[in-house]
Amino acid sequence: MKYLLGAVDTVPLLLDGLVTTLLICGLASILALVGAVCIVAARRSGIGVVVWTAKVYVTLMRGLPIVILVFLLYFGVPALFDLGRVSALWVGVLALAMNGAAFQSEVLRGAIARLPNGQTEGAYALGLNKFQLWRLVLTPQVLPIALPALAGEIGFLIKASPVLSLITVVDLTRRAQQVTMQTFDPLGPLLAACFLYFLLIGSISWVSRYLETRLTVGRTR
Amino acid sequence: MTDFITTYGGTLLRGFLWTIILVTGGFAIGSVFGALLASMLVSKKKLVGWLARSYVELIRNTPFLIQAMLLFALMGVLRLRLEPVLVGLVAVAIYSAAYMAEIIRGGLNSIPNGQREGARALAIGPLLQFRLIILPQLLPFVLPASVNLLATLCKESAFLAGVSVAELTFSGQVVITQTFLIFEVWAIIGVLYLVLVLSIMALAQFLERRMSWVNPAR
Repeated sequence: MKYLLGAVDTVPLLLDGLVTTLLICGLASILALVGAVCIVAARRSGIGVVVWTAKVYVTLMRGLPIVILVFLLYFGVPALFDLGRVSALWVGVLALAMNGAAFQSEVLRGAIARLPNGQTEGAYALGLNKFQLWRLVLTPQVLPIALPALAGEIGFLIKASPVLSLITVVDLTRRAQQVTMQTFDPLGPLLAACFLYFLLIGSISWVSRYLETRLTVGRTR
Repeated sequence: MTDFITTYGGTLLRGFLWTIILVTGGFAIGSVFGALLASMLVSKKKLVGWLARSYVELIRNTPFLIQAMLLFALMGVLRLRLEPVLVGLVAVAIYSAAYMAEIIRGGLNSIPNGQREGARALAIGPLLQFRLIILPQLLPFVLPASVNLLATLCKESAFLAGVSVAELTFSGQVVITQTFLIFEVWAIIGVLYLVLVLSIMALAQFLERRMSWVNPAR
């Protein structure tokens, strides 16, 4: 009983960490989506250097562990350019967004590749310009194909977000560690944090699966 | 530069080797348990299937760092004094088992039931059926996907530095405390990870192309 009462006291602390984690992941996901659209545009631009740069960027992000990316950006780059202290939170969000953008761009590229060529040709035949083609014809078809996988990518982003606790950001993982230090309870806070992560990521993968069944109705190939 | 390599190259290289040992060892153990879990996932017994499903969902929907921290805390509570590297290997095994189970389950589901019925009609026993009919169709599906999983594990294993397992990322932290060459060390480590992960990914792509002759009927 005493244990339970003590545990209840730590709930606000953990929830505070959860809010930080949510904030980080929300911001990073939005930035990542914007970045992903830019990468896809760059890869379709037809300008050799731009296409090549985008390809190299995606390969780098796919091959580099998020931990190393965060350490490079938070410890390495400021040391190289003598920037002094940088905000761990913003560097973390930037790193998550950089990583997420590469993976989300691959999702978008795959979804665009699944559209038959006739859509573009038909749109041009009807006299639509490039902007109208994307706004009216392609995007409404790409989104339903890409949404479930994009939701999945957001799940991966949340799963990677504890990396920020390694650079002193007080997110859910770090909060759990702090509560452990305070209460000398090695398992409880971590289990609680684990449960909260499970709820968060689990609900997103559930949404992803729901979207998949919902959006593929009448589009069987 | 040559000074740096002769003095600290060994530390980094040892970390690199430990990362490879951790990941491949964890992957090997995880594959065995993953295969076991997959057979539970497709089993007709409800309770068995439910148990395997909850394990897989639990691992797949929580961050690796939290899992590793929990495992270390659990070792502390149980007063088990194991080498951190060994606990890290177990963490990788626990993680990869869940993902491997899903890969194998996907492969098993892609084989139409008619194949099994046909085998039974031809009086082919379960063992021979697995070896002659299921396995040859399963491998082209499972091999590329599991090599991709191996690449993911290499990246995730960097999190183990957060619980002081002496792998590549941790060895970088050690070298930095001695040299203060912050950017250079992380860049070198980044290149080492890139070489490792990208070559594993290339292998996965090669396997995928090589095995595309089997188009499992879906």
